[in-house]
Amino acid sequence: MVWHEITIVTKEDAQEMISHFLHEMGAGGVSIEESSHASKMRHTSLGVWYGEEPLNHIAEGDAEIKGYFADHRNPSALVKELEQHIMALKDLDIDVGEAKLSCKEVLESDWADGWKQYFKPTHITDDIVIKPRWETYEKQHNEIIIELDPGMAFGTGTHATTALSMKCLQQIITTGDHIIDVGTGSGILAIGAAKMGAGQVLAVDLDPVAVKSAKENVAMNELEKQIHVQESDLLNVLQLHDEGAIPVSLPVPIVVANILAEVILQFVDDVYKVLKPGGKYVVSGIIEPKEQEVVKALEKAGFTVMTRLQEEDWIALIAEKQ
Amino acid sequence: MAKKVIKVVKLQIAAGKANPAPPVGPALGQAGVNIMQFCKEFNARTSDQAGLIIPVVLSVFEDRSFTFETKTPPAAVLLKKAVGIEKASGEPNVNKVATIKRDKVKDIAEQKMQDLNAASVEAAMRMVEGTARSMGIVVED
Repeated sequence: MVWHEITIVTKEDAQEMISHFLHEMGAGGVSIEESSHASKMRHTSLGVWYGEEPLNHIAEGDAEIKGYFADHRNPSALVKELEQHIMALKDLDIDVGEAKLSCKEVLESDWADGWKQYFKPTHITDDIVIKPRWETYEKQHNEIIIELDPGMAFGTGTHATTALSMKCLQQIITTGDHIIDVGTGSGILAIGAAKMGAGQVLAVDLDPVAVKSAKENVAMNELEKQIHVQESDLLNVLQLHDEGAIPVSLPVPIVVANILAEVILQFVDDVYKVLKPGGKYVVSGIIEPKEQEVVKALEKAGFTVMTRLQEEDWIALIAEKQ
Repeated sequence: MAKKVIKVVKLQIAAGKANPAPPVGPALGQAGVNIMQFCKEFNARTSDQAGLIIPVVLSVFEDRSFTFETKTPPAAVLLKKAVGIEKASGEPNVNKVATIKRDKVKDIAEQKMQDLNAASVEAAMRMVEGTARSMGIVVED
């Protein structure tokens, strides 16, 4: 996909108006950078500090606004339309400054890998280490190493929700357990589960980007025989099982889902169906204000919450099917 | 541990729907921030406001960790809601689509005050009035 990035340098006071035009013209969202002049009011609590050098080269009182349009056939028409809107602002005596416009094509490859140089081998539990594909790491005694290139899928292990899920799995996995990982993302939990001794693991995700990433990571960790990655939701898993198309035997002893509370609430009953009596459901990605809603839904479906872990304001639960 | 800020960027994106596409991808990726991590955090914290465009101010630290704060919706969104229109005028200087009382503009300015660089309510009102005019909304006493 090609994106056209339209940049406007204007006055800070005109940013809301120009951003609004971009939204109305169909931009998928806008980004705004204001000048970083030292006189600007700044939030500096909790040890946050700013260096003496400016954060950017935007002139004092100015703001740089960027709007993005996907696969647009006629970007010059977009620029023209925006120019007309800006002209109208001038007619209304609104100071838009220089209002310099530019347009360029941007590709995913321009931004997709920028963060990777800061992603280093990380211990996410005492003995599980996430090793980015491009880094080297010498394995210490008894450590489990998960090699990873998450690409644009969620799950580097550095987020609290992933670390909490892994800690829950460590508490409950016994050798040979069949496991379903719902919303696998980069495949990190499925890979972790297999390396902790699980038998067959079924990793599903509705996002094709995640499925591709998970498959690559499974292959990188040489676990293709143990982990089956499928573009699917949980309901479809039941169907696939009836057709003999998945390697796990239902019902399974463990299901893990590290997604978001809103999504998790949608398939609590399906998880209940695929679990054995006494089976464990590891639920993560729950922000604290949503915890009670999730707990109630779990209890209503017939689960009992056995364990609760918290890191920052993220909660992970282990619920047992009664 | 003290953390040095290396970039501050504001995004206006749909609540609960952040994804690695622009503007999130370019703004964060070029700053070295883990894009999907931000998406998960933002979506979890804004899912209750689905359907609204939410401004979010993201501060990136030297180690590429980040914090963000969500702000009140853009003035244009608040104005549309206040006067009950879906779309602003395409020709605001000719074609007026609604009117709004100055008191209401003051309410919006007060709501936005904390998020704007405005030094006073009057300055914030000037900005909100400007936004109203740019949308073809007439401000009256």
